[in-house]
Amino acid sequence: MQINSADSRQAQGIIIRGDSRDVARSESYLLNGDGKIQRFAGMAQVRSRRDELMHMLDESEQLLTQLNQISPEAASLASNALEQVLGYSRLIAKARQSQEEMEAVRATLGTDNPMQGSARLDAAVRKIDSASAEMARLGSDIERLRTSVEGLGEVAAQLNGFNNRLSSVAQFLSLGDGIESLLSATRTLGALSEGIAAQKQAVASFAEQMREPLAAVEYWREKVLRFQSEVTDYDQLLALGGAGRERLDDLIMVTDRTVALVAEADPTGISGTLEGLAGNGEGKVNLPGLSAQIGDIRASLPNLRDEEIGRSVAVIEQYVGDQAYAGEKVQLLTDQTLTVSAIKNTIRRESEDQVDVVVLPIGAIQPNLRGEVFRVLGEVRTTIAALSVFVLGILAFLLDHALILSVLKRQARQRVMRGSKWQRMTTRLAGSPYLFGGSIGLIWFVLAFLASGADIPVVGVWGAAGLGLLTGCFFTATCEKFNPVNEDEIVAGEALGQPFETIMREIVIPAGRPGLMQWLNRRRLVMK
Amino acid sequence: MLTVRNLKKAYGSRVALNGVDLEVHRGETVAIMGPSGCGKSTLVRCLNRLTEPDAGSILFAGKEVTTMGANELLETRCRIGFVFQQSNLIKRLSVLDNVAMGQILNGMDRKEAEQLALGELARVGMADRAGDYPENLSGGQRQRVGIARALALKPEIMLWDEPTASLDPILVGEVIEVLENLAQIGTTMLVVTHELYFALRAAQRVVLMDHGQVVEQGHPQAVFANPVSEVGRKYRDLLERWREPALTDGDPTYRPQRGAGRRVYQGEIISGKVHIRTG
Ligand SMILES: Nc1ncnc2c1ncn2[C@@H]1O[C@H](COP(=O)(O)OP(=O)(O)OP(=O)(O)O)[C@@H](O)[C@H]1O
Ligand SMILES: [Mg+2]
Repeated sequence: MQINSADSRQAQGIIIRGDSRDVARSESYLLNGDGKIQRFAGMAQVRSRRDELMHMLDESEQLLTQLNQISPEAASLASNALEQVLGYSRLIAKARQSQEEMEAVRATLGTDNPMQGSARLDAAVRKIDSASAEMARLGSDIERLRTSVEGLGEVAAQLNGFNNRLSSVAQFLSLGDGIESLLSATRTLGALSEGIAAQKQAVASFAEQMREPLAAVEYWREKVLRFQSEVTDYDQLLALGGAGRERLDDLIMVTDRTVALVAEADPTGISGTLEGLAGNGEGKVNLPGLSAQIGDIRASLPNLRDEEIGRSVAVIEQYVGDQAYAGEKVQLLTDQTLTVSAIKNTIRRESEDQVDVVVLPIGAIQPNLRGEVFRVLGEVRTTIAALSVFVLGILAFLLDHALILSVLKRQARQRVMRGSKWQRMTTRLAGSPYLFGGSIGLIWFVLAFLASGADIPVVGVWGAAGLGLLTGCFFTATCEKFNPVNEDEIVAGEALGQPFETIMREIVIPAGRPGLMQWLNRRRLVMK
Repeated sequence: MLTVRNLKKAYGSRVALNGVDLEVHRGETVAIMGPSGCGKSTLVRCLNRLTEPDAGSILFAGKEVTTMGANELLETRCRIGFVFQQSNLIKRLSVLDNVAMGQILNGMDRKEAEQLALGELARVGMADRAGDYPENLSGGQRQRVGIARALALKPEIMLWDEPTASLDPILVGEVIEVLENLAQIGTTMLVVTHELYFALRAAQRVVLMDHGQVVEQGHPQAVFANPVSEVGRKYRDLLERWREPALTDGDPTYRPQRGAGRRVYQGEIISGKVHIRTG
């Protein structure tokens, strides 16, 4: 740790060696000069921006999935509601019609035409029943829609909370190229959650606007049902006499009032929102696409350890000193007609002194310093990996293959060539130790190169292959210098009638340089 | 036992063997002599195909060596003991292991092989150094271990490629003594050597080579007394010039004496290493 600030109660610093993932316990200790534990210092609280970022990306992805799961229900509710809203005037017309029918029934009560009155009552009751039922259904649908959209809004609010922190942490970490993708994702996420919040708002205020009329509709519906149960037909209405008339009057009055209230409300204003919710509006967000994008960003986050982050932050602070500005930067390019002080004053005033103004000479480029450092760090890591591969390859050659190559070269020298000139040449070529050395070099380098995920900017896999081939041939040419074979001992083995494998195992390999081959050979060795 | 016919070998354009004919009978000791570079080493190395000959035939115990398959060749090599100029011991193995190695790798029980190896080491006077490593031995001692290693396989014939060439004169004696003892007990041997006295005393036949060919052969005394080849005449001249007093003495060879664990050789010339050049 490097402590940056401390008071009597707590100290803050950055990790300059190791990684927060390695921290298993949170007790922290002061160390003395030789790195020995001196005394208990307190409990540590580890805060890793990278882990935070990872966590937030994970959470966002999860919330998006959740959003994706609940939005179809809201969409179907919305399209249902939309249909009703669009048919609202027809609904009112229907209610008005039933109202008129009821008036007509009342008018028949004075006359003496039971046949006509009976038919009228039947039709009127049917009409008023269906009109009120339809209206009541609108009410319950709006209620369900409101609950559903509220759920959406809750998830969106959480998402928005993460999103805000996401973009600030991302800026601190400066992810280089990845930042673009991340910022675009956060913009989309922001728009998405804001849109949902607006929809929630619209639906809520709509529900509020419709509360009174719909409460009236409910009451009306109750009245209609009661009337239907008490007055089953015209004869009964007549039989009830004054009471019947009273009931009819009451129903007509409630109907009048309800229709008046309902007609007053204008629900068409909500149709745009409903359309959006139903998913046929413009600018619909592709949720699975967005969560895939976030997954990609998470996977491509540079896997930097805290010490690397800490060290680079230290480097940046050392070199940039006071010139390091956190937060967003805006570059204004001006010509001479504007004075610096005028610009400064304007910006101070407009931003209420929240924005610092720094004047730079024209042409000064302000790169994303942290981003650059991290990009270079990442590149250096892979380059080092690749270089280690080459060094390892060379070592492997030195230790093991040089010996084999030395023996192969000896064999090739001893081989007796027979046949025509061409035959001799092809035999020599096919048995050439350079063929073996070159191929081993090529295979080793390419395999190691690919396996290590190493990536040297200029070299590439073909470069590795070429380098392997060259290294192999070089070592074939010089193998005796690295791992010579003792000709005398080999000939002695041959004179004793020993086969090639035995000579390799008992004489050549044990006398060579220690290495993997010698180690593997030990357990098979007879003459230990 | 061993019959070589028209053996040829060239290294690129340099001809090392140009049609060599040679015969070694059972129990015979044959010395091959000749100027440096005449192809002696190439010849003996071709016999068990440590070097592949280009043409010709090698008949060993009735079998053609030049055309035999890999497995049969390995078997044949086990039946042919080979002693090198530099001893060619395996550095990482002890003296005992060096000698026992051939039999152990051929599948003999380790105890048995070590017993046998100790016997062969005793024969060359090296039993007390069984636990040592080659680097701690003198050149002559190393050479004797190399001989014990070849003997441990109980070969039917021993091939020697200048076993004394890299030794200083005092050490030559110990190796020559072993060689002579082996000759006395009737070991079949083909010895490439520059040691005139060894050839004179121990060989039943001397073969003189020049420019990749056999130029003269016969009983050593006869060949060096009446040489017909240029090489032979040069050997005779050298012998006469160096050995005049000894020849008149009627005893041309040295007499080994044992004393205080060291072998001393009598005569004016302790080692008769002769290098002659032709052409
Ligand atoms: N491995 C080799 N590659 C090329 N030429 C060789 C090789 N071995 C031997 N020669 C050449 O073949 C010829 C015969 O060599 P060889 O070693 O058989 O001679 P030598 O009679 O044993 O000589 P010396 O008495 O010096 O040991 C020489 O001209 C030598 O240079
Ligand atoms: Mg030689």
